Formats: sequence, C-alpha cells, structure tokens
Amino acid sequence: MTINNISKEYLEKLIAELVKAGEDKTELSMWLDLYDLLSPEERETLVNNLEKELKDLQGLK
Amino acid sequence: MNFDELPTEKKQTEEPSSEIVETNEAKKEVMEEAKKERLTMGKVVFRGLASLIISGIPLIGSARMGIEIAKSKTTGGRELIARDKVVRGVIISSNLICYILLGFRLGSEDSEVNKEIYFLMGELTAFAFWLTAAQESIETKRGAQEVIKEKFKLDFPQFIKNMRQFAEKYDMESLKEPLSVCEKIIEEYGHDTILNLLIRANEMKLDDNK
Repeated sequence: MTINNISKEYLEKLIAELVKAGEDKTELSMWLDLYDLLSPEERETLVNNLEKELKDLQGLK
Repeated sequence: MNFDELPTEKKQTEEPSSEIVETNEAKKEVMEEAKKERLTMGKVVFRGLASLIISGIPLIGSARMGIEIAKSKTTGGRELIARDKVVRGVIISSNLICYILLGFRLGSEDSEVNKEIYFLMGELTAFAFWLTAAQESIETKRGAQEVIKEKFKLDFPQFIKNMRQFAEKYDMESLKEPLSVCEKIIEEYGHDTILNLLIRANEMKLDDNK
C-alpha cells in the first residue's frame, strides 16, 4: 500500500479485521478519529503497522 | 463503522490447552509490540498537534476577536460581542485545559494516569480542531458545517464529562477550575446555542469570502 492509495475506508476495514482478531477497539477507533489529522507519511506508518500486526496475528492461527 | 457490533474472539469456557495458551501469549506479544510502535508515533503526533493548538488557538482567537470587535463597533451589533464572549470563553478554557493536561503528562510517571491523559488529549485535539475550523473556516466548504455540528454534538459533551471524571478521580484542583468555566458557559448558553453561534461565525466568514 502506497501513500496515494491509503483511504479511510481501507483503514476502517483493517481496524475491523484487527478488532475481530481481538485487538483493543477503543485504541484503534481513536486512530480512525485522528486519521484526518495525520500527514501522508504518518498515515502510511500507521497502516504499515496495522497491516504487519494483522499479518502476524493471522500467521499465528 | 460501529466496532462494537463486531464479534471478537470467543472466550474460553474450558481449560485451554497449552497450545492455545502459547498462541494467545504470542498474539498478546504481537499486539503489545504493535501498540508500542503506535504509541511512539502517537506521542510525536500529539506533541505536534499540542504545539499547534497552544500556539495557534490564542493567536487565531486574538486575531478573530480583534476583527469582530472592529466589526461590532462599525455595525453596533450587540450580538457580535455576545458571540465573541462565548466563543472566546470556550477557546480560552479549552486552551487552559490543554496546558494543564500537558503539564500533568510531562510530570506524571503513572502509566494509568498517562493513558487517561492520552485519550483526553485526543478528544481535546479533535474538539479544538473543529472549533478552530468553525472559527476560522479552515474548511471553506459548506458541508464542513454539518461535520462541525456532528462533531460538536457528539464529542464535546462527552469530552467535558470525561474530563470532569478524570479531575474528580485524581482530585486535580488546577483542572477543575478551567473545567468549571467551561461547564458554566455551556450551562448558561447550552450546547445548541454555542453550536449555532459557531456555525453563524462560519457562515459570516464564508459570506465575506464570496
């Protein structure tokens, strides 16, 4: 995922997957609220962090 | 999206096997590691936003106030002065809360307290962002008013409630003072009135830009 195609919808989807996997809803919802205030680089870092976490969690099943 | 409706992993009712325990431990580790990284990023983001709020709001508020006072003198509108007092009161008290929270955050070593401050700062940031947007028409689209309306109604009452609980829980006198100012302003004028004043300020600015 590159800076240009990170959408809020994608982030929502990612967060929903992580919540399903047992992640903290409150903390992740806060990041969704903060999304509009983040720079493109910060958005990319956030999405990379969440993608990696999801991948790692899925790998443990 | 309502994350509350999403199913989370089923709770174990029977004694979990060692394999499950190991997987759960590994999951916990993955989550903690990811969260730690996000927290580092969060600190940078919040620091940047806090500086922006601290330096920006008084400056914007003062500039806006000067313009409004000049306008009210020429038009003789009492309403403009009244509106300014309300908006200024909300801005100043939120700004004070922001300063005090930052002070607590810098001085506190207690992770539980820091966690609560972290969320309150998030709420304050969201509120201050929309308040500034309403005041200064950072977003000049008409649709922004709806967003402000929605955010203001949803976030601000809850934020004040959370802040009061926090102040009472830790008996933080310095926080109670500006909070009372904020509560008094809201009690006196009501959320809807303040919201309408903000929206009208925004509309006036949009009309000026035509």
